[in-house]
Amino acid sequence: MSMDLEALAALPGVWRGGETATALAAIATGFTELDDCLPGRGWPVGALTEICTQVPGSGEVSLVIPALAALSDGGTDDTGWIAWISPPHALYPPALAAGGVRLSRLLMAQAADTTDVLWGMEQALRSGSCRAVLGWADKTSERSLRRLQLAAESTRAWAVLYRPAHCLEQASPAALRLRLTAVAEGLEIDVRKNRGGRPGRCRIPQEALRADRGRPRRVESQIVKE
Amino acid sequence: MAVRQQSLILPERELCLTPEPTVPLSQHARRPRLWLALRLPQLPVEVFPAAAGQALAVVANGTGGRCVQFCNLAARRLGLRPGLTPGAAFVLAPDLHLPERSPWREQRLLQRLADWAGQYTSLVSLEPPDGLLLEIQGSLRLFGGLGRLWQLLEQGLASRGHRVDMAVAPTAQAALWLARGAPGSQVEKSHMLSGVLSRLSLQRLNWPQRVVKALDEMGLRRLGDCLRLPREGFARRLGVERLAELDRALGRIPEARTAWVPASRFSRSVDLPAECQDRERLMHAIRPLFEQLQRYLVVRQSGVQLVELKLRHLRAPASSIVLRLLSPACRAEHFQALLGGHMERIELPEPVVALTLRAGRLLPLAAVSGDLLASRQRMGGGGLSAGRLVECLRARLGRRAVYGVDLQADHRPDRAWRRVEPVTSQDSGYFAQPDRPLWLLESPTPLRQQRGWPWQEGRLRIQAGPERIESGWWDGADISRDYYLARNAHQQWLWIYRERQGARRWYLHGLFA
Repeated sequence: MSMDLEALAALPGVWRGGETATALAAIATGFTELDDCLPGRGWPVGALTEICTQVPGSGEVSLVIPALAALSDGGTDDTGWIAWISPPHALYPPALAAGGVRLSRLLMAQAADTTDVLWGMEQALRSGSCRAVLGWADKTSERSLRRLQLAAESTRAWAVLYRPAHCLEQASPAALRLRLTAVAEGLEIDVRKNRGGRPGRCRIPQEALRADRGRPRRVESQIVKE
Repeated sequence: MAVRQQSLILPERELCLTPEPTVPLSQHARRPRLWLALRLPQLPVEVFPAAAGQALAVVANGTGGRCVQFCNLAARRLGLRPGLTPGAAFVLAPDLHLPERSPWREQRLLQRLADWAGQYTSLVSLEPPDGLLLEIQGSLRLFGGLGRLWQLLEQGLASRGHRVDMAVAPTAQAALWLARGAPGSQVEKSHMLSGVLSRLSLQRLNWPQRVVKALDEMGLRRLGDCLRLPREGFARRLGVERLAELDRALGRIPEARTAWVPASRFSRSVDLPAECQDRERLMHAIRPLFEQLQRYLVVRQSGVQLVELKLRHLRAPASSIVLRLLSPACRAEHFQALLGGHMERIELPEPVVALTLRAGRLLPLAAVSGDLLASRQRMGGGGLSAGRLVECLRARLGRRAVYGVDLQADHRPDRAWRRVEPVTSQDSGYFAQPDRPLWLLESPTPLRQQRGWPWQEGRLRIQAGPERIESGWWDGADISRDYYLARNAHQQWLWIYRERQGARRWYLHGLFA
């Protein structure tokens, strides 16, 4: 007895693996190509996201800017903070502002070592006053990652941990793990782990990645010629 | 002729001149006053710390040479009495603690008690050597009547280990006399004052011995006897000062009292019972200091943003921990938690022998209302505010490591932004410029050059540019550069520039990341 697959799926009580039972809280990434790969159609909130790169500076910061712009632009002072813990180079505020991120909502912290980075991220997450916490670390134990994931779950913040690509070989409790590679046409994203979804690949064209994309520049003064 | 007894009952007058001349006196003048006098008869003994049951006596130079002047209960049980010579005292109590009387310590303790009494009234006056005056008319309602306030003061002082005599009267002088001569008296109405005062023994007033002796020889034993004398004669024989004192006590002439102004900074020290290098135990020893600071701040409805803890060593210079807070704070737990972060990192060269806690300028504390439903706490688990988060991060990572950012109107890339105090900063109108990298290197790194082209693991491919930035001639840090967007072999986007002057070298200044 054979049954059409479509007919089977139409039966009540049958659902596909890709359809998650619970709606996941998410923030749109600002890139449709990436949104399509993610189960909540955006970065998972209340969970840890790992972004791994072969070479630092491949476009991993540009990737989060649209989401951060949306997060920081709540209008009121109640929007919460965006904490950056130990980026390898100083983040350049004019570029962040050009990407639409409100600078007064940013909190920068430089930690001396990985332990302090993870401690700082956990404090920021547990404080409940941050909407997003982004940190850079290389050597981390699974236990410390689990602590971060738990801290992220306890709040409604989006936690991002940037790590070198070789760390992908290590198991991790993160909800989302991405590997980024800069290619000639833009950014190649390899979704390695995707809780509630499935692994996949996508490519974001270079024009879309530009931080100041689509944001009208504020004109301070205009000279009107008669 | 003499003014007689009937003139004693006079309408209420202004008895106290507060040190604030801005307060219109006419308003005060009509308000009746009620003074509570505290007298600490054992103050010279109480300034010295003593374990329970330890006999302690204080010696000083009296008329008969060096002798015991005050002794505590344990010493009295062993038979010590004021007037004994030190030698005799040691015969009675071999393990007696016999310090020299310290007026300085007494003064300090009295000031501390005045600070403490500040929670019950707005006007405290020091009455050296051993008394305090509290104006309590305005506090009666708040504390639920005289009986309740009396009880609070008595219990508070007893818990601090003080024996106290108290009295209440409508004039300050009368209250002091009653505390000395008839402790426990409570005279609330001024027309009852002369009656109560009349019964006071003249021996118990702190009048000079010469005056008391003269009065005694005249057959006058009580204050009432004095009140029946003619004024002129009294003044001539015993001095105008004595007459004025009587008048002040009865409220006939106004009386000036200096209000005790509490120190505007908090500073307390504590000697550790034993040398200590263990951080846990140090934290434990600091706790009471923080609690004192909290009480100090709560009474003043103030907070501090700067707290300094000095850990004193025997030989090495003192170690210091400075807590900086983003907003004025007053809770002991908050200070304690912040100190924990600092304590972990501090290097102690030697064991600590004493602690000194000093607080910075007092700042008005913004009233914080508790959240009825505690919804915020639930959201964050820990429920730290952003300000607390910054303080917590700073305690471990260092003050300069945590900052906020803002833009600055300058075309030079490294000066287009500045660090600001996080949390409290506001957005300035920004001057966002196109094509700026997300990461700017601390200082530009020179790039290798081959045949005039920038090189980094292969020739860099220029994608856009140049953007000429030429600025800053006015402050000596002028630059003149052509900026380009370039890509390297890893397909990274770089922000590079070429100097327009001198060697025209290439530099890497940022990554688009």
